[in-house]
Amino acid sequence: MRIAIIVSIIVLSLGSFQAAWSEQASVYVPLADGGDAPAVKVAKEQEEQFVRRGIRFNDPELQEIVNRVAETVLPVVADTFINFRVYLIRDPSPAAFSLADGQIYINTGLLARLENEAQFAAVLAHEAHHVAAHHHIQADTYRRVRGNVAGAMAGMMSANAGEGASYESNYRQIAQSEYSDEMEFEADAQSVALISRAGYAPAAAVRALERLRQDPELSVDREAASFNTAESLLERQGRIQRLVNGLGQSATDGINGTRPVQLRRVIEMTIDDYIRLDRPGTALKFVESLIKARPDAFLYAAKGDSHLALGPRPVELEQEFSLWVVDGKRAEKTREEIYAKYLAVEGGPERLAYNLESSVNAYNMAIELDENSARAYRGLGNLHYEQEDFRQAGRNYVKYLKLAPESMDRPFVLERLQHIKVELTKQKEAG
Amino acid sequence: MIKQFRKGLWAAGTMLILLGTQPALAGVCWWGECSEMTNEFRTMELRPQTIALLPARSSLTQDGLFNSENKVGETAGLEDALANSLEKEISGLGYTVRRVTFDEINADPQLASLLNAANQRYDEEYATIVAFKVSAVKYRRYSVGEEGRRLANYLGVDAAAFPRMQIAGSSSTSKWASAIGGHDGKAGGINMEFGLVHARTGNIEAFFGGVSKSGSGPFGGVSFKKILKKGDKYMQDIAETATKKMPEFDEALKPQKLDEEATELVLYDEVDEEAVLDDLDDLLGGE
Repeated sequence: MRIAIIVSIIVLSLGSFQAAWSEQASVYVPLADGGDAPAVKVAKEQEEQFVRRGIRFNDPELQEIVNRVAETVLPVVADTFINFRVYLIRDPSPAAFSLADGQIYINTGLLARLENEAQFAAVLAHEAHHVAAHHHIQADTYRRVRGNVAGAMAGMMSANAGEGASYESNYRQIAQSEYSDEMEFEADAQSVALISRAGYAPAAAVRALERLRQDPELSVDREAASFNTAESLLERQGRIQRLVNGLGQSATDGINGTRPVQLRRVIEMTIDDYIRLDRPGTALKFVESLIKARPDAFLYAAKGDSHLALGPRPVELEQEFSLWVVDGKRAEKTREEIYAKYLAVEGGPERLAYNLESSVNAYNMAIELDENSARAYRGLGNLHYEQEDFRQAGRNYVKYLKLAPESMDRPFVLERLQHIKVELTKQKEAG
Repeated sequence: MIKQFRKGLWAAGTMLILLGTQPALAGVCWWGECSEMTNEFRTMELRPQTIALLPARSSLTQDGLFNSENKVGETAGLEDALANSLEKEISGLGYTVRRVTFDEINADPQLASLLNAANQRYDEEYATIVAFKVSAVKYRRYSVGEEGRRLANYLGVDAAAFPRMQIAGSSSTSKWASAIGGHDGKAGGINMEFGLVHARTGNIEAFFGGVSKSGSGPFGGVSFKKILKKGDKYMQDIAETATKKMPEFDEALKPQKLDEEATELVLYDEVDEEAVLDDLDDLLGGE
């Protein structure tokens, strides 16, 4: 039966690749016994694990948008083991992945970067094609064969023969599925066909790749994302651009759509997640790109937070990483140690001063745009607290609590205010 | 010719040494020695009375002769068994355990969000801890920060335990093959650790771990079949090993009062909000 599956995979692979090139939406040929493939069995288990571990991000409003777009763009398949459903994951990395039985997962970070619904449709269509064309099953079969061959070649002496397992079989591992370049291009090409059929501009598929390519994370490969790994995004973008041009479509089609209002929350969440995960350089670049398009008080306050979190670290990620490589492995240092190390190297204190100044400017700009910007007052409170200017810190924190009485970090701010009270009392007593 | 032969021998020897030391290098800690705690934890000043036992994050691998494969479906039962055993062992030491279940997390979006943030932060530190730096726990090197404090405060406990477990079960053929090859890389084993993050400090105040691995070769190690068959027993063993060095909680030894002025030793709900804001109003007034 395994041989039958492999043969049908090869035949189908050739068929679906040809189909991807045709202008008509392809009709996917079902895979006999595909439901018995290990990749499908594992997909079901993974779904149970995701539910159990609460991996999915539940937001009814966002889910409604996602489902609406999915309905228009997802292909009809005859395979009984495929049942398309789309879910969100709270993760700022711009990634999406799918599983053999039709589960599609979109990171909030990817959603935050896309400019309109058409681009989101292109991403969905890309992942849907991986499923409909049985790419997971093909890749899994290849992986198993390769693992066995590699294992046999390495012999029994090696403990690392084949595919090794690493700590935690979580979604990030799954997101790094090894599709071939052909599979990726095929999915890109087919996404053009699928979104065209759904009424979206084909150029949205090109623009979606361009948006992801602009992400500063990609240049340093800090976290591999399935949407980015196989072939370079630039190459993929070029190939798909030529395909769209061949269809007689202009490169600017579909770019002028707007983001649904609900996506604003995802953008804010993504910025916060980057700062929380100690990736302020990425947060800053993302915020700056948004300010360029449409500035507002929130974005300026977030810019201030990013500068503050950067501290003595450089904004450019490449420099930041090269320093880490030279000075040691990141995994062996804590956040505080990395911070201290940057402060100690040449240019560190100057960078700290620059970032603090930029931070103050950004917070002030936020207050200028909106005098009730709670986030900006909290940022100023944090900044002055770190500089031990307790009077200024106290004033800004109190203002923040008045503007945002229900904030999640109220206990944290109150605790700091208690400390500020102690310090100010000491200062008063000292005269 | 002889030179080349010597060169070959040297390379082969080096390779053998490297392969031999590989399990020790790759292992997180060895033979349950990876337990450490801060002085404040040891002296009861920061010994928690109530501990939230969070769900384990685990991976299960089946090591075949040539290939290894992550197993997903089988982990749920083992994680539950581990939680049962850890709850039993930690409770047995006098602590009050508040077990946090997946059902509870899935029903409470705020808890899910806090847990997600704390887990991410913990894993960042965990990656550092397991790189031979377990001993630095005693110097309070590792912090989960506000994420850890918020979670513990939300759960109303003194500390939260973050269990992490890696299980590698070998197939019978790979065990025989490893015995013949003289290398125990595929003999299988279970590795589990948990860090205790204190609600007051957000630091990892203690870290306890254990390894279950009874030798190499066809009669040693842990086989995948056995893990599935005797999961409860293995989980009980690993929980016992990991908690072996965990000191008992003794109410009588706990300090009566902590230094309230030291902010790092304050629990969120201990802050008198009204008093703080009133006093600050006076101190900042007129500016």
